[in-house]
Amino acid sequence: MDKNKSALASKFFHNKLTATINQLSLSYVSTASPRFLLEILGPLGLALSLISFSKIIKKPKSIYTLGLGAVVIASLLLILPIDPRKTFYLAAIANYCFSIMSASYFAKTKLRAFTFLVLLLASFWYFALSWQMTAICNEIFFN
Amino acid sequence: MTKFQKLALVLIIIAAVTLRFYKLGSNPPGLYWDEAAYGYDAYSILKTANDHHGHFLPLFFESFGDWKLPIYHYLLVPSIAAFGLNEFAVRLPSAFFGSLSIPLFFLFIKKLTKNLNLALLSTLFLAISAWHIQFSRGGFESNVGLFFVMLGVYVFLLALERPKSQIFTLSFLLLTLSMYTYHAYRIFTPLLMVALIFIFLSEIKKNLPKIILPAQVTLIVFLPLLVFTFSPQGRLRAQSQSAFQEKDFKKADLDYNQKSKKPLRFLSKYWYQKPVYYAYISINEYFDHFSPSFLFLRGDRIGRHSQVDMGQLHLFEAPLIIAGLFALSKLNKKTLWILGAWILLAPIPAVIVNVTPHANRTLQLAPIFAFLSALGTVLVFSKIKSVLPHTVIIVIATYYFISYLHLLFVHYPVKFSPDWQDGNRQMVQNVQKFQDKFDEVYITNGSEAYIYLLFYLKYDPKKFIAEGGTKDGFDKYVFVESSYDLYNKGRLLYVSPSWQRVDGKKLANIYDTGDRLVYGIWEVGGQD
Repeated sequence: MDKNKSALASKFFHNKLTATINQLSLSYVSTASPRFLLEILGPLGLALSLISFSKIIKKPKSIYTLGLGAVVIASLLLILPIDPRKTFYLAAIANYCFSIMSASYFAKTKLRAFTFLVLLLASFWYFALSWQMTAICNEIFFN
Repeated sequence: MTKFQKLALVLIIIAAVTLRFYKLGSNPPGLYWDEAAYGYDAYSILKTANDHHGHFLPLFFESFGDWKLPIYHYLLVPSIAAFGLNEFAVRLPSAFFGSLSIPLFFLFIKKLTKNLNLALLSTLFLAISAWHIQFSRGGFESNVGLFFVMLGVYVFLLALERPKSQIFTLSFLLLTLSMYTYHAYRIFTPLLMVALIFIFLSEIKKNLPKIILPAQVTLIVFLPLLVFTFSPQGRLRAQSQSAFQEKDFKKADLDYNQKSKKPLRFLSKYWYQKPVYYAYISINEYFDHFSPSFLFLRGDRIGRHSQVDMGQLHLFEAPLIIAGLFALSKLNKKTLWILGAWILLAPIPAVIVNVTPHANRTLQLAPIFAFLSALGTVLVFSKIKSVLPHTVIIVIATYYFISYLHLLFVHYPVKFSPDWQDGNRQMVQNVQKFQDKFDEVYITNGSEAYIYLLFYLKYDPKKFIAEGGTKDGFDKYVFVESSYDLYNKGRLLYVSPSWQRVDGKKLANIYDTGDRLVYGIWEVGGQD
């Protein structure tokens, strides 16, 4: 694309630094992709994670920030050349812990409790249709 | 407003106009078939008051059988009258309303936040928004529709301050106009209106007598659109775009059963149901539009909708948007509700269609992210007092923006010429060169070729309608599949796809802007 441009101009826009930043960013942000989080946490877990995040926005210096920090570090491990199975479980556990931190949110009113049940049901259906149910059931019934 | 702020606003608007108008006729290269259809139908309206199917001043345009909405077509009529039937004229309304959106957005944010600096910064981020620029530089209805939505909501907020029937009428009509402009706003705008009713319920109750008549007028204007939605033509369009296809469900069900062991296959009869499956894909498609990869790194995979080598937004906006979330608590409650409703409702029009994430159908997200970037910038610059970090942020942002300009003006016209059906103008020019020596011209119908002939030949619409021209042929032009048997038709001129081997004499090769071979022009028959 840059064949008629100067080599210096081309290097200014296309260089190892920006390419590295882009690739690393792409790998890292895929661990924060809503689809990826949905697949791990389900709609209920994702809702709880968003509630935990909103608590950080309201009060940055709280325990929730520590939880988010754990998620950020665990997600970083996912893109490193470490045993993917171990890093996946670590990231999943960190995400679960971060979401569970806000579980009490749904206990405060009847409407919230009802919402919790709806989300729980939605999560069951979601897992049933995505990869988890087939993977888990195959593991149980086949092995 | 201080002199400096006025100057800043003027400079931002000039920058926005330049980014949207510079080389508008040649970048994007070529003309996408929808653009060619808009242009030719508008030309036909200008010359005959009929579209190219012969419908008199249609409210909905048959086009390729996909029944397009009217506003963009009618906006094109004065553009084509002034500038002729060409790429620039076809894209002018989109670029014009895209540019007009910039000062409008300034007024909109100023009204919501009462903060001039925040409004200026938001305007700057929208002016340089890769997402907004992409759709301002093509013949996209969505961009014009977004302008009407923003203006409609702005006028609604004005009407609440100075309650008058006329202002409410204007607001409702503008919002309805957005629904006549782009299909996504037929879903987004009504939902946003419902949200605004809930947010401003007390004010609306107080001014109900002044709202009833405007609402009735709007309903009358909206009625034809409602009728169209449930008509066979409207349903045909919805079905062709729908993400909820029977065949996709059956394929997914089969795939699921093949991967499952017997007990799960037995149970899946009860939980793998169509409504549940459609809800499952809807949830995934909704959240795809908040994917960091889509927003900041890879964008929409359709080459017309993004640079593809970068996200819909600039990468440097990512930390600013996150910072912006922390500044949301500083906004007043009603502003938060409006922005919250807007961002939550914006992806819904894309959820029901079959390609996601879809940047065109969710263009209404672009202004919100511009605002969040501005909010984050204000927070970061107010918390970090030292000049050095400010300088570093500005340098990084400037570098990424200049890189974007390099992608937009150097890479994009070459790399994405196939996405814009580039090569058709060149094809028509070459057909014109050779056609006088032939009685018949056969053209392979790869991508609605007939509309390009009509467009670039500036074919008389009156003649086209009178002779009963269709997508299969008009005048001496016949549009055929590449498998068509040409060899018993006598001597003819044939335009083939680049890959086709033809038993004839090659007259010319047609290349696009990226030097890709697109068509071959052949003399077939008569070589004995």
